Amino acid sequence: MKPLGPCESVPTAQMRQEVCDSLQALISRHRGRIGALLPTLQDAQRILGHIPLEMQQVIAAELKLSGSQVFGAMSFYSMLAWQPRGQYIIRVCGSPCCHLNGAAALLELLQEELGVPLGGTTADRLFTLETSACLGACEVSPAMQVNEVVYGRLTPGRVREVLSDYRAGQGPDYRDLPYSTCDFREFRRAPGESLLLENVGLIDPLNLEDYLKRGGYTALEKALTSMTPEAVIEEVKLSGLRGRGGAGFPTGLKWSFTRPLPASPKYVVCNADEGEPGTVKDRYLMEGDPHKVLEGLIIAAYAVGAAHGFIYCRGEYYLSRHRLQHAIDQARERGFLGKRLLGTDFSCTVELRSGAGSYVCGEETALIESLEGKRGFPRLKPPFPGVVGVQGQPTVVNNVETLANLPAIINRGGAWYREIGTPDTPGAKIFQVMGQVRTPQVLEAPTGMTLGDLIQVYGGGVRPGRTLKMIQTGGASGSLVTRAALKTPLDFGSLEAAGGALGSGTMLVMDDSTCVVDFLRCVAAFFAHESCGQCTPCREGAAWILEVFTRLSRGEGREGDLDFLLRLADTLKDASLCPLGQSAPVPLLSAIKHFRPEIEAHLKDKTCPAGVCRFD
Amino acid sequence: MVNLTIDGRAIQSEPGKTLLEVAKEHGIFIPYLCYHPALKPIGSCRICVVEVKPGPPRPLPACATYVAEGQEVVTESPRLRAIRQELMKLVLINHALDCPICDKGGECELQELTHALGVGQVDLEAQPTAPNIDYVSRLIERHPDRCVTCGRCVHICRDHVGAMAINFMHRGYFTELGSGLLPLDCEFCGSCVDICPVGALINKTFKYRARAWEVERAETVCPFCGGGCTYQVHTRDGQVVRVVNEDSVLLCGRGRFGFPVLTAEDRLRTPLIKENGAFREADWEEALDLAARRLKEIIEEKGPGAVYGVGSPRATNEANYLFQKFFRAGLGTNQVDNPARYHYVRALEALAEIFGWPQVEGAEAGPRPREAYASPLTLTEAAKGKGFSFVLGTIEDLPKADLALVVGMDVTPELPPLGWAINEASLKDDFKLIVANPRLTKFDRNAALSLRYAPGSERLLAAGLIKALLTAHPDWTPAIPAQGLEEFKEALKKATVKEMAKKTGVDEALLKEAAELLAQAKAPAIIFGAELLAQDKGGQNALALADLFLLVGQPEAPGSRLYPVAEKANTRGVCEVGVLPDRLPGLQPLTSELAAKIFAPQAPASQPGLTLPEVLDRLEADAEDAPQALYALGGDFLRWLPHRSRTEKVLQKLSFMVVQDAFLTDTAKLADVVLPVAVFVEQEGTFLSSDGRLGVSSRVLSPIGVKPDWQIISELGRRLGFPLKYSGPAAIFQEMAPAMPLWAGAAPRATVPAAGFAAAPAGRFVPFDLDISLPGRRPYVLIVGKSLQHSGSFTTHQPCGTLVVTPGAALELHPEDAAALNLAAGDSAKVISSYGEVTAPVALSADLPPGVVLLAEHFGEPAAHTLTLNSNLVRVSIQKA
Repeated sequence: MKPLGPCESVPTAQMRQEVCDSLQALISRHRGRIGALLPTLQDAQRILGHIPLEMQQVIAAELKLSGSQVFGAMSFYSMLAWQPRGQYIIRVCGSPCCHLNGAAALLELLQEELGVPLGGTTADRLFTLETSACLGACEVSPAMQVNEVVYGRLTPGRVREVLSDYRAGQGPDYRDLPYSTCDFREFRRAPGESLLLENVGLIDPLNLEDYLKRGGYTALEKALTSMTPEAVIEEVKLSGLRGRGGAGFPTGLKWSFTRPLPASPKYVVCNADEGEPGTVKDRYLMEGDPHKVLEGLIIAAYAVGAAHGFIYCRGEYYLSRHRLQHAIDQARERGFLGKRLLGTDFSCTVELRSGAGSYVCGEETALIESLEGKRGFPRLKPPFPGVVGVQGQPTVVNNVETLANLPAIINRGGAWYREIGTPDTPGAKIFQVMGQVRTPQVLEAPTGMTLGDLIQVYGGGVRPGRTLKMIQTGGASGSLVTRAALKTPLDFGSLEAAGGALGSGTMLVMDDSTCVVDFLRCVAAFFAHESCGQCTPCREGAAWILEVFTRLSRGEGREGDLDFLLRLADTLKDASLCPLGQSAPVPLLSAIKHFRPEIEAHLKDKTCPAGVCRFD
Repeated sequence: MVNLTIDGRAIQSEPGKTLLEVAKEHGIFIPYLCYHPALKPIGSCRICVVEVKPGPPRPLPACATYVAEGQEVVTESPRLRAIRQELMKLVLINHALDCPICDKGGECELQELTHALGVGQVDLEAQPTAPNIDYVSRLIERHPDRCVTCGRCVHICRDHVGAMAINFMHRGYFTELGSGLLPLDCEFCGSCVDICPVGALINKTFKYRARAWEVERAETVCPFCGGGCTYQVHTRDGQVVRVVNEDSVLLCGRGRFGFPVLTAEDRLRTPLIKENGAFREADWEEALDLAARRLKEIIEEKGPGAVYGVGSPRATNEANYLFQKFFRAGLGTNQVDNPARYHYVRALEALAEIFGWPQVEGAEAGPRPREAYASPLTLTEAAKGKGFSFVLGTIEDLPKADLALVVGMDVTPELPPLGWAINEASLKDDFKLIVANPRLTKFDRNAALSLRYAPGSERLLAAGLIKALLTAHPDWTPAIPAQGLEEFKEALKKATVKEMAKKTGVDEALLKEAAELLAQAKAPAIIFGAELLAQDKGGQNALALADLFLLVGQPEAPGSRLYPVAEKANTRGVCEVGVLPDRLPGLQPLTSELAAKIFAPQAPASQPGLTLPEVLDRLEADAEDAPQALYALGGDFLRWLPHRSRTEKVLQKLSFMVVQDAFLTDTAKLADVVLPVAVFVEQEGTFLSSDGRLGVSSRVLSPIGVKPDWQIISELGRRLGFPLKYSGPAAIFQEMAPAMPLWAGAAPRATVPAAGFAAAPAGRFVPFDLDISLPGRRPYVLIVGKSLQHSGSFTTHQPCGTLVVTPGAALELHPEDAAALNLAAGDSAKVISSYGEVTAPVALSADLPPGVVLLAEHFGEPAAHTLTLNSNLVRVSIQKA
């Protein structure tokens, strides 16, 4: 028995000699790195557009893995393919936000224009049509991505235009674009000082000088040259900063668990796997001010005693990664990364990694598994990553926005920071108002702004002739609230008390044209698609929730469906292994609370009060 | 101790246990599906959730929640019942429910659980999808439609077997288990089959042969390697239908799928007598009478020393003990040896040279043990031991080492359970593995350092490591009391690290790094096996590694031991019970008084007998003292001994040869009388595993026409006038064990020497030979090696299951060499040495370095030892056949 396949690239029908050579070259670039498999697969896919079996065998042999490890990992990630595809992959966003704004019609149009079903490749091998669970382009929904380039605010005319550009070989290079969706400076800004997005749209993100001119890396210098790691942690504790990824865990406290551990090495990870539907805030930071994120990460590494950091950025954010990599290279050249930073004893390197299409990898333990080149299966907790993380070593995982807060906290002090916003969630927060509002947008403001102000003042209120129906708070796994919650200040505690959640700071606004059943079907589709499949309740339950909502939306609901949904919801909430499964039923439970009659109308009367569902 | 309550019951538990383990210990039922005691918690099925205070508002999985002081645990409540019922329904919706034809029916954990939880209705129906059933893979069948996605198989394959052949594929609702885009191409150990709670993985050799409740179960020890796994044999209607390991689940492919060899058509069922150059069937009386008469004639003519005995590493301790007694008490000679002389015995002699032969004190006769196969000798408080037996490690303790150096050994084919132990150790963060081998082997994947050396240069590698260590640490003092270090250093004076690096082909920096790892290790282990012992200077190789261990070994640290591999089920046993020309049972010297008692009234001869190679030399030289008759307890010398044509020629010089064997081997064909023997489950007795564990083989089947070895020896003895009468193997054990203090405390599944000895190992450095030249000018070096799927030639008889995986031997060579020779995979190659030639199919393997080729030795065609001279290494030429 040979546990490994052939150790060399033998040219075959699929793999010409030059393919073999480039494959070997990229493998030798990644070999020996932590979790080399995923970056190897991602690079290998660029050669032929997919990874045929022959390539998998070579990769397995060269990385000392088995074929099932390679295929097991690659089949987990939706952006990796082993079947031939077209030159351009069109990914139509199917997230709730895009769905509300007409994604279904867009998909139909594309199928017609291209003459292929979903998943199909045109005869000329130019296009493959896919959907994405969420592209992270919610402020310009409905949106699609063609290879690396995002197209938003799509109309049928615009879609045809884009297709003809590509047919004419005139697709843009994403690296030349100023931003992937829109100019931050178009948005209405909140009064007062900005701490997080203050440089975005004003500086050249590829130019370190611009960042330095605006005070960049002074916080790092201050921390490294005048503060002990313990003092940095104390300052962050004092600031009251809570994690901005969604769970709101106090950042300083998280660090304080890892700092004293004698283990070596330790790692810090910037969680840039921004996959929560409705959430685009981290992208603005990474695209517009990548050095700020990097500076925050290096400060975190110094605080916890890590000499190596990772930035795990979601697969769809090509421009973010391009700019982050540029920033890392510049920082290394200027001595902000590398050995003995700024003449101190502290050394730090940072490596950029890319996700490959999996929402659950935003969960910190799944992210770590993915960093290790495996399927993104969340781990059992405890132990927490702060104690047992990347390769069993203590690892602190912080969200992009969390890290972006650090320069201001270090420069101006925790006490100063704590005065901003509400006592529950001190500081500045990036909010996103999305969905059926006049001006979906991103803005930074101190916590405590009311939900109503966010929608009315910044989102411009619902569209003319429409009334506000409901708001999904905090992301796809947040609960629904109604007008009654509009006076709620936006922070973790207040929203929770109001039956919602701050989550990532996104608020998905829906007007009276939205059918709650149709909306929940879309949310259910998201979770069914993104469930990792490890634990029974989520693997099976998420699919069954989708099944029931699909039939309700077709008027095929059965007696007992509502009870079944409630049972499933309890099972997922109580028994799932990770937060994805535990929170997947949250929107449905809140919907049953607020909109039971509307759901029952679908079930018993086979009618859709909002007129969205078609019962043919 | 931790105090907690479960369902209101106050319970004390050791810390570090899970709630599920503690509940099980106290008879509290918590249902589960993915948990398995042999695995680390998986936590995927969530059926074992319990309510825990203090804790989060959600219930927690009992399998992955650890006991804590003051915990209040509730295992049964309406909420928990609802969750479990719902989860079971979710699992059952998509489960094939083809229980009537599912092999797992009757022992299916899903069935049991459905029953236990009373899930009578699923009230849901899923769109059936076409199941992607794998009927193609060998030995194992996969039914994804029955899979409950618990992940047990993935975990056992990854964490214990180390093959990682099976993994989850896709995700979410579509998650299924698979082997990538190809059928299974793994070690075919089948451990995934037996750990599967349902019938998603099926053992093809068992399929449709019996229902779980129809089988009779008996425990026995596996005969297919020196690992000594105890397993359960399931029989139906007098036929073995499968074997399972109920404890750790783990078995290797041979262990699990090798048993059908019992019913091999070419097994001998009746004695054979050669007349006019041809065999004819005979009855037992006639064959035994003839054998006895001829032996008697030779003894009368040439003296008792003219009869020579070769014991068997496949026969039980009892049979081998009786065999040497036949010679020592019956004939009054020490004319016995065993085939391990060509590998394992070399290790023993080298170890004895450095650490001394084992000596024990303080073992006394105690009360008669209750178990038939337990030694009546017990250890007193003053029990002390010294000698090499006390630096040998056990598989169980290996994971306690923090570094293992594996030299010249492809671990899994030689001793699968040792491979599992290395895997287990590799899961620890502080464990480091150094793999030294001319070729790439499985464990290079786990290795911190891989040292690729030229075939046959093991001694220089050891010398290089020793020199590098002593150079970096000039004041090094071994932890084991050792003599002769200065002289040893002097002897190695000319062997510089640089030169050793150059001659072995290992990078000097790597050599130094490896030496430093050995120096830093708190519990280093050294593992080596037959592949380096079978070289002509195998004994010198062992000496070098034993010297290295004397230098770095930490006798106080568990796991820090030497692990020489004894290849077959009783290779260690055949030696320890005294089938050696110079050692009595218990490895005692010929002068031992204790051992002498068992040969009374015959006094044991003080003159050592000839070794097996000496016998062959004497025969070849037509020497005056060459034995005239050979009595072999099995063993195909032609196939196993180097230089086949010479062995054949020499054996033909014997006046008389009697062979006990299960098959008519090429060696048996040279015999005058062939006596068919019972094999593993057909006879009772004990085996001593490579790591000293006593395994009891039980008689599960009634042998047809054949007899157990011990009975044949006894009957031959009676005919020659020696009383070797016993009621059974247990009586033999009870006679020999009191004479073997080394085995004091021996009992089924326990290891010898027993843990109760206060061990005081000490050693003396012995310089070793630094000449590694391999004679001849032919361009390729051939290594005669082992196949994972075979145990000697025992497993090469149809219908042995593993033949499906490895039906024959192929000449493995590097693709570059193949290209240069204009050979492609599957072509037929002629391999020529100065001693013979064979034709073998070609297989390409980049695991081998260019210039080195490999041929497994198990098969009759091509017979690898046609090519060899006195070693398993030989220079060969290769051409297209």
